[in-house]
Amino acid sequence: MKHAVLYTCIGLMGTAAIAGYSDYSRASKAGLLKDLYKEETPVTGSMPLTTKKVDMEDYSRAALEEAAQRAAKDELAVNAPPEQPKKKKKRVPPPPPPPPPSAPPPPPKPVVSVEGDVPPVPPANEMGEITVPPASPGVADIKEVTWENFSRAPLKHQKHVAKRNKRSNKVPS
Amino acid sequence: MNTRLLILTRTKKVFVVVFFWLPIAFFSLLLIRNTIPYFSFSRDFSFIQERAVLFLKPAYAVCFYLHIFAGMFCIGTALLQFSSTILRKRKKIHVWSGRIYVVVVLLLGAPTGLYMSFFAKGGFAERGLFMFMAISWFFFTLKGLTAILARQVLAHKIWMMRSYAMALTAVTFRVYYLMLYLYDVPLTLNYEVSLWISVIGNLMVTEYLVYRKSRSYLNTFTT
Repeated sequence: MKHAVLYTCIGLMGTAAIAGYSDYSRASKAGLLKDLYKEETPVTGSMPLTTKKVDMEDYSRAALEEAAQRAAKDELAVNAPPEQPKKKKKRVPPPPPPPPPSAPPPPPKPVVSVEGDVPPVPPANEMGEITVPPASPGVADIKEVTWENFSRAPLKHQKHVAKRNKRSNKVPS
Repeated sequence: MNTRLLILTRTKKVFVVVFFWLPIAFFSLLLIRNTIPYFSFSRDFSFIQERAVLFLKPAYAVCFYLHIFAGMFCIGTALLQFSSTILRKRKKIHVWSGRIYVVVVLLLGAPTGLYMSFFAKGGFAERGLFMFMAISWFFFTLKGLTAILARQVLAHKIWMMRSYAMALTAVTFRVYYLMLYLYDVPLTLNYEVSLWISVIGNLMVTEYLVYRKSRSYLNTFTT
């Protein structure tokens, strides 16, 4: 048993040596082992090297400038006054004829404005047109939702409120 | 026994464990861990890509995978073999791991290593060194097996120390390669120098330890 193991192991080593030598000689004759393990030379040897100077200050500043520009744009968008709604022109009936010169002039109506109340209707201009501001100043008539006014786009229930207010502000002709 | 002498011997043992066995165990386990991905049989490893032409031959590819499989078991089992605690308390572990080591070296590791040594990196000297490593690894392991079968324990210890020195060149070679790489030594020169230092260095350390262990050192080559 001991000898069998011994001879088997020695036989294996012999086989490995013979196989290795024969494969090696075949591969070296075929030229496969010539460029094996050769370190590759760099390709850029014959090409002229061009160096481009990179301004490190500008390179690093570009990102900061872009960020600053974006921040400035956002600030402008935030601080910009809300868009004024379209002014509705309402026709008012012609004023009554002037009273005779003997009668005293009627007393002016006191204008009382209390916080929380609906603001008073402003006086008519020369043409007889009155501009009516919107009922709730917070809701803007935004039709286009862009990136800048995305956060200020009205919510659904506010849209309904705005519509209701528009209908109530209509003055019958 | 003198207390101071006792303390000295115990301190020496601790030093040997900390500065010798711990690094060897660490690097051996690291080598085993780094070998496992190769069994995905992928060709995306620098070692394989460098030898892409050789891997086209099925014989070389088979020998390579058998060799690293055998190497993993050799390095792993050999870590248990030098523990006197295991030998005293659990002798069966020593016996079975020793059997695995011997079978793996004699049937797989050494023959495949000899085949691959013909295609080793480096010049004629490096290929010759790899052949010497494969043959000596086989010879030392075979002598260690025959010694223990003949119940010659000291001879068995000495031959297995030499066999382990050959197996450990796989670990020490990588350590020296890394160290020289950090000093910016050119790759080809690094490879050759690390190889020679690992083989010759391991053999010299082993022979010194054998000399320290045995009374008649030269007789160990005849037993």
